[in-house]
Amino acid sequence: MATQLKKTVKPSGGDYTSLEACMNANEQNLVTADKYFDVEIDGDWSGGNDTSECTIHNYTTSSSAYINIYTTATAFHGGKPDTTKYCNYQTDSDVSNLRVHSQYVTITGLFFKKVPAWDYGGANLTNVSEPNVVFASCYWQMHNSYASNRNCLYASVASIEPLFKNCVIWSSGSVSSGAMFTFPDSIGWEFINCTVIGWEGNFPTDLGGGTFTNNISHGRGTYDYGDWAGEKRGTFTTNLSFDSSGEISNKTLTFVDSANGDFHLLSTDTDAIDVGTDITSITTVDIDGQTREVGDWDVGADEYFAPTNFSRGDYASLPTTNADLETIYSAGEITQVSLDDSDRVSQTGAGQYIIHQYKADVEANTSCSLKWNGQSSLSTVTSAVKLQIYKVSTTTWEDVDTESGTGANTDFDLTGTIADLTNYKDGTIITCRVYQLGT
Amino acid sequence: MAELLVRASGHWLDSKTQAQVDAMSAGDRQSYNARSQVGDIIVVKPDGWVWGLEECLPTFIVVKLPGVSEEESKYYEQGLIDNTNPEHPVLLKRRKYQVPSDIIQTQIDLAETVIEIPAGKGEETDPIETFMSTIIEKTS
Repeated sequence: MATQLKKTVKPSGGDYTSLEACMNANEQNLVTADKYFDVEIDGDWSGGNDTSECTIHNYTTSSSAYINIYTTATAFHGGKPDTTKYCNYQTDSDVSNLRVHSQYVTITGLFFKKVPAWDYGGANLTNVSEPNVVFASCYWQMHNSYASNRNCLYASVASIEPLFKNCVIWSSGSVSSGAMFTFPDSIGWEFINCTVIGWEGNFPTDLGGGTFTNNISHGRGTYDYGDWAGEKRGTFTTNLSFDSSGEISNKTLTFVDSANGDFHLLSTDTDAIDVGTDITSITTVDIDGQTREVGDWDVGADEYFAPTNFSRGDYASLPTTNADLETIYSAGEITQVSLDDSDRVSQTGAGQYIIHQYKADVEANTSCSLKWNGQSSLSTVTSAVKLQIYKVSTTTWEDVDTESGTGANTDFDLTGTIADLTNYKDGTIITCRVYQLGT
Repeated sequence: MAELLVRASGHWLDSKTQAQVDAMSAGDRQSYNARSQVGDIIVVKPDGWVWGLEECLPTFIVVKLPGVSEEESKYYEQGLIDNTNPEHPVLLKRRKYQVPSDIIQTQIDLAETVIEIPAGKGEETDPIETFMSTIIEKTS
């Protein structure tokens, strides 16, 4: 039974400060050591990116003695560019973000960005030369303004069977090339539920066959799928295109914020919602780690969920700044207020507060209605309960509704309408709280 | 200013015998020959970098180069790649640039992770220039 070898990569306080140093220092025969290697990337990366090209090389691995590189919720990109999260960032045109020369490697939740400083040079990912390499929920961005070859994924000798699932692959610069560039001896590339945007050729499949399922592709070239002549090689199933080359063809999606790389689906992107093929044998989640809906499977990296209010439970002290508010959610952490608002905590000390804090994803909406249902063991006649919304533009809380006429342990509603959300949205998220001054 | 993270420990493949190397497949032998070596400059960071808990001896030493910018020295991170056929580049060495092994051994003997090269103060011989001139550029 293999045992865990675990190392951490953090801006401070971890074992390593770059992924490259971590992978270089621990090269070994994991099979004879009978270990699997977990590399956890954690921490707040707002102080700077990981700027060293990473090469995974000279590890001996197996299906049980594997390498697993992942981000924690703190370092995870959240499916869009975020300068506080982990990013391997390269400006040197001659290097890549990543090279993988070992088998049995899974990389989950990493952001790779390259902004070439001069013409010619490497891709985001170069030379996956061994089989059994998986990229899950990774975000690849190439921001190029030079003329020549700038692929996201570049495969030369015998690149074999890498699997990309729930990834975003974005060419954001003024000049683009193919999202991937492979040679005929590169076989079996798989793209499952990826969103591939902005490339001159998104899937030039001049390779020995690939599998393409549930992707969204929107390029700036002639064909969203296929090589430069539009020829498709491999197996294509329920892929969406903006042109005629996909199985779900001639569609137009808008996404949450395309200009800034947020390709989460909007409620209006109905052409991508519930039209995919269930592939639970390969993935059960989307780029955000949310469980996909079997039977209503979406195409692309994001699974759309209707906006809901999220509760993170009750707090015994009043947040004073926006930094006190949780901003990251995963399916395992949240409770939907609309389904369950029973999580109440009795307060015991003077000067404490009953706080119920929640957030809502309002997408592109310009207004919204708020409603909170709950009760307190302290009568609102004695101490009023307020529903407030956080105003981002002034970093202050504003009252939405106040309840002062309901007795203890009795349900009441707090409601309100925000007619103009402009000053309240942080991206697409608004933050609300309910509190009652203790006695 | 820059700081260099330099490999101080040997590689697990160093223990392979010539017979074992001869028995390797061509691909494995290529990886073997390209393996990291003592003295390889693995990562370059700006001056004052707070290194991780394991970015130290016995695996690494840190060379501080006051007055040398990170941008100037970032190219030390590059590998030695044969681009004769640009469609099929070959990684010949994991790193192209290497600090001499005697400098590494001195730090190991002293059990000192950090070596700081003093900035020149108008002397005829600049210590940083002297150090930089010792860095080995691999060619094959």
